[in-house]
Amino acid sequence: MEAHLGRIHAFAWRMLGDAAEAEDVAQDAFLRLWRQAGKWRAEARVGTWLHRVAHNLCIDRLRQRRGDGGEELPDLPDPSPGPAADQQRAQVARRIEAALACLPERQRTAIVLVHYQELGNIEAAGIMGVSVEAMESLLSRGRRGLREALAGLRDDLMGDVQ
Amino acid sequence: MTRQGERPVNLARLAEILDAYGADPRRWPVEERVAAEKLIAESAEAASLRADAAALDKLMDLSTAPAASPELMARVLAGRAPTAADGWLAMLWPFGPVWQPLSAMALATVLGIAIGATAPDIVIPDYGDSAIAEAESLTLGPALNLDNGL
Repeated sequence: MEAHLGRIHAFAWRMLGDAAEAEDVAQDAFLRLWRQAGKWRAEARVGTWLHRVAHNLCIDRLRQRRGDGGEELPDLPDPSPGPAADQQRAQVARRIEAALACLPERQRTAIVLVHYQELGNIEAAGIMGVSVEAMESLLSRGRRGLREALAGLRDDLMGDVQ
Repeated sequence: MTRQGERPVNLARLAEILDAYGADPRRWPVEERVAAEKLIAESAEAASLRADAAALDKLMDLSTAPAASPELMARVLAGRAPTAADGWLAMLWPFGPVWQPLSAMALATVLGIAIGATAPDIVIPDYGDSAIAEAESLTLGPALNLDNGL
C-alpha cells in the first residue's frame, strides 16, 4: 500500500504543484478505494484505478482554481537550503517543474503519466479516456513544449548539474 | 522480418516514438520496441535522434517528487473501511480497537497457565466424618446446638 500511496501522492504533486493538496488528493483516492474494497473485481488493477481517481480529483481542483479566478499554475516550493550544488540542482528542478506546469493540462497529464509515473501508453490513455494515438499526440506536443521552454537553458543547466 | 505482434519501424516512425515517449525503450510501444532498438543499433542517424531525446529525458529526471509524509499514511490507514474480519470483531467489541480486549484475554490466559504450572500441589487429608463432627462441636459449642432447642 505504501508504494501505491507514494506514487499517487507524486502524481498529484506533479499535477497540482502543491504538497498539501497532493496529500488531500491521495487521501481522498484511498478513501474511495476503501469504499470499493467490498466489490473489487479480481482482474482490476489497483494502481490504474487509483491513478484514474486521482486524475479526476486533480482535474476537479484545477478547474476549481480557474473558476475561483486563481492561477492554474502551482505555487512551487522554494528549493530546500543546503550545499551550493544541492541548491543549484533544486533550482534546475524548479525550472523544469515550472515549465511542466506551463503546459496545457492534458499535455502535462500525459507526460506525468508516461514519463514520471512510467505507465504504458495503453494504460495511460485509458486513465485519460483518450485513444493511444491521441495520447501519443499529447506526449509529442508536451515534450516539444518542454523543449522550447527549456531551450537555451538546457546546455547550461546540464553543464552545471553534471 | 518481424515476429508476430511486432511492427516494423522506419526512421520517420522512430522520430515520432522518440518525440512522444523519449529515449527509454521501456516507455515505447511494446509492439515497436524491438524494431526501434534494432534501427538505432544499425543507423547513426537513428542513434543521434535518440541521443537528442535522451538529453531532454535527463533534464526532466532532475525533477523528483517529494515523499509522502508519515502523517498521510496514518490518515489513510485511519480512513480504511473495516474488512469482513474487522466487522465480525467489531460486533463482539464495539468499544474501540479490538486488540485491547484480545491482549487482555491473551495475558490472562498466559498468567493462568503460568500460575497453574508453577503452584505447589495442595493435598487435603482425609480425617473421616467423626473427626469433622468433633471439630464442629469444639468450634461452635453447645450454645449453637439447634437440636437442643436453644
